[in-house]
Amino acid sequence: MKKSSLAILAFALPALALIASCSKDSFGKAVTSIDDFLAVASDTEFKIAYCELKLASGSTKNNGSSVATSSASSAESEAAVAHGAYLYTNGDYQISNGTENYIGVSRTTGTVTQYFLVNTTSKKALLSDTASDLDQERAAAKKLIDNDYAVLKAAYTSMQGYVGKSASDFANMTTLSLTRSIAGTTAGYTLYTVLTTDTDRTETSEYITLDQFNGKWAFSNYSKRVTQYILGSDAQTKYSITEYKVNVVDALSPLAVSLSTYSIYLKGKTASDVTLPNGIPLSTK
Amino acid sequence: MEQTLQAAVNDAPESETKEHFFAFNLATLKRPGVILRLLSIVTCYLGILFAIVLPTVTINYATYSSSTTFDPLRASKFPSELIPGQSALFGGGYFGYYLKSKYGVEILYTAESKFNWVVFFILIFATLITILAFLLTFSKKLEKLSKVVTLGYVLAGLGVLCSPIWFMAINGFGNTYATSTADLTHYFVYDSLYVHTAYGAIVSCLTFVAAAILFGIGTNREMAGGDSRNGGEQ
Repeated sequence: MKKSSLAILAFALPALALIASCSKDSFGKAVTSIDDFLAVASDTEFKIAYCELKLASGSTKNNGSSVATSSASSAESEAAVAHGAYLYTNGDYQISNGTENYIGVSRTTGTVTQYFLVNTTSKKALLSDTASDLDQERAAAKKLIDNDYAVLKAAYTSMQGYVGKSASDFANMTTLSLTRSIAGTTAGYTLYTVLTTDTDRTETSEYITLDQFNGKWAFSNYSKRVTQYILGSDAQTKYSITEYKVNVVDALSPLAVSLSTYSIYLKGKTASDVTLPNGIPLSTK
Repeated sequence: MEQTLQAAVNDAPESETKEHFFAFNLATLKRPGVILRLLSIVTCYLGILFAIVLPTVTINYATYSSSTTFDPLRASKFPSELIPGQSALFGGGYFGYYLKSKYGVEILYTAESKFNWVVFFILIFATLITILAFLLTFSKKLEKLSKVVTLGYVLAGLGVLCSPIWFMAINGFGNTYATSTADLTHYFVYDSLYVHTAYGAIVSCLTFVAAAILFGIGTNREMAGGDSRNGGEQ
């Protein structure tokens, strides 16, 4: 009897140990040290195809004292793209920052290269044989991408300031959670805080997602969502969303643009200066 | 005549006149039916152990159709994420999945698992079934409940097999209301999320089914060998 018991134990214990070892951890964990933050490479080490910023906000008026009850009125505003900058092969680009919206594109046929600078707001396209005519807006596009990437880097650095701290370390903070997941070549950081005062309660969620390119980590998506519940007789809920999307690529793609919707004019010439062989002006504008 | 009947009653076997609710002795343990029933209890506990120790939930991403809006490349790069049973059951563990905002960004979100009272109830239910199985193995009066035990094992197995459903319900993700709410801050799309059973839940379910089979065979043997629950050998 003793021998059989020992034999059972001899098999059972390793079997249980084997079973336990089969259990794999999932991708998530609480961030407990600064080492849990991945080293992010500079944007100069990548080819960034584009950066986009989208903003949205809204508010909900509440009838009663409880903000969770039915709303009397609501308003929501969404900005499709607050700004965006896109880079393509051959130095082509597109930029829209709200006030200036341009497409810069070049076409080479044989030994001749033509340059188009398209103003997508006025619907006019400048045709030139000078490459430098596209430089100014291209520089603006690159600067916009650099600035956006810097914003994400600042948010990432700011997030690191919460490591090793609890809600009690911050004024009016009642909840603090900082977590991380790594799923293959993607990593994501989640920061959630709640600030509570006598007059309002503010929930803030920040999400930073990184993707690995050629062994280096780069920012790819960022979202910050703030919900403010204003308490009291004038109770209402306000929403605010900020989202950045960065597209890092191994190689830029070519720009496909149709000029059919634009009026084309030659640099240094008026429309009447240029006519087709049949006498029709190149452009009517 | 009256004396004859009285004598017949007095001569009746003692086993029939003194039926114990619970009769346990070493001789009983030698019956194959009893051994199989006791083995089913051990097997059931093994099933419970598997449900706690092994991964029971898998998170994947897939492109279901041309209407899928989630980036197919990103979906294909997501490795299968296995949620350990203890994390899915007791909570306190962390797991990651993608959230796609209606504004386009795809963020890898980290969530903390919550205590799963549904799975906890299922395992408690399985434990109660083993207690019932033990009692009726040594009690003739509870024999009529043997089918309940077999059914209970199977139901516990199916309950564990459905772990992904309980996991998503308790942890509140993958739900459709999140795609229709007017609350801007919680507007996420789950159209590529694929949460399904991990191998641990399948192994656990099969173990519960094995327990049911063992108990069923044991019951069959007990019935075939006649009822002698009061300690006597057949």
